[in-house]
Amino acid sequence: MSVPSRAAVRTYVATVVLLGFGYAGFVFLTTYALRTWDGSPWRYGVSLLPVLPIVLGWPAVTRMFKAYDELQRKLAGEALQTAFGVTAVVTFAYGWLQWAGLPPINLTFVFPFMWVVFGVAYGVRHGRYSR
Amino acid sequence: MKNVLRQLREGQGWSQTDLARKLAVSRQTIHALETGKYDPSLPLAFRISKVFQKPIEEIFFPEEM
Repeated sequence: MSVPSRAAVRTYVATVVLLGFGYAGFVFLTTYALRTWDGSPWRYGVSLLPVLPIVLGWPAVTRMFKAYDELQRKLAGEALQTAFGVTAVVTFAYGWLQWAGLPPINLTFVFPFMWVVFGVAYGVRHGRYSR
Repeated sequence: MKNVLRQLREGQGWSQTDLARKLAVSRQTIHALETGKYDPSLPLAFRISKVFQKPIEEIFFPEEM
């Protein structure tokens, strides 16, 4: 058990920022390619490019979680439960609302939504234990 | 659970950051322990006991005591 060193946090932030730029680049490339390569079999491969930064970034997230101390792990675990629960309720509810006539939402929004809920939930819990 | 962590730490003249470093936890964890918002795991309680060279029961007490 330990706590992330400043160097580890810097590496994590640099990795996330780099992969964020990579993601933005791939989104630009993919949307451009999907508009222009209509009917090409390459469409399927190219459409998966934005997934690559998430796959490459996952070990960095795992390393960061492993470096957390026991309180930080508890907070992250609780925040994950909140993110899981909120995402489950929202996606399930919207799925049924689609049957009622609301417009369909692309599945790529689910992961960022879950990540944002996790961040907010972690921040709120972090604040409670810091005061 | 109540504890006398703050008194022990201040008795040594350590800051929360100093103690956090000795226990390999975050400063936030020390703050949460001292304010009674978080109860440590048994391994962390043993590390605290070792750092202050006192038995665990002289550092942590049940609420009703």
